Amino acid sequence: MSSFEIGTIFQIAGLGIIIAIFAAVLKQMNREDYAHWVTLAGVVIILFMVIRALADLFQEIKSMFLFQ
Amino acid sequence: MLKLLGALIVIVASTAYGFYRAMIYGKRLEQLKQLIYSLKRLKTDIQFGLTPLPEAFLHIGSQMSAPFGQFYIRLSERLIHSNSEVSFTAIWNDELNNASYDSYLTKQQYDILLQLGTVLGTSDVEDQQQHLQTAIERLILEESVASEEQVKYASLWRSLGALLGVALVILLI
Repeated sequence: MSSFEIGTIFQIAGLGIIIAIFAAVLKQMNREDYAHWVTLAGVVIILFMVIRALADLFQEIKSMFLFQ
Repeated sequence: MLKLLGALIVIVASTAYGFYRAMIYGKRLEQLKQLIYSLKRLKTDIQFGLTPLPEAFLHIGSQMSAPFGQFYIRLSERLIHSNSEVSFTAIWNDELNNASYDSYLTKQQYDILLQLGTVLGTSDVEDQQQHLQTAIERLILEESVASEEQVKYASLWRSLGALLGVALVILLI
């Protein structure tokens, strides 16, 4: 379980770096519009990953306090 | 181990795709230059040599590389062996369509050539000179645009391909 969490965190960090480079390259080529879209897509992808992790957290809490 | 291999394959493939997309811009520029040169030669042949079109096409085509060298040679062969029922424009369009599968020109650049096909060989020397000159000028304009695009997008696609591969690997791993 904990290794999965570490993996997700690294995944998010890596994606962040890649998307930052992506946007920088696009901006340098005067394609600001595409850079914005790429950044937005990155945010959405990472948001989904975070939501999945948060769902796991809620599940943990629910089972911890015997809500189910 | 298998994961590592898969990741490597994904990165290599997307980098190759990026390089391929970058290569297209260079090839397009090169083909446009060749095409402009060939039309200039055609113009000279018509103006000073008064060469008939099939012979002029054969001359030009034998000195060009694929796909447009092939285009001119086949055009000349079909013009020599054709019966009079098929129009020049139809043959020109047909051969241009065949050549389009191996070339990297855009739709607008094709339209210039297609338009040239409708007027070539239908009038006297001076009129054809004018039409050829117009086509050459428009192609030169396209060439400058293509060279700008090459500077702008070739390096972009090269880095974009590699980055896309790395992003995919991170997402999938």
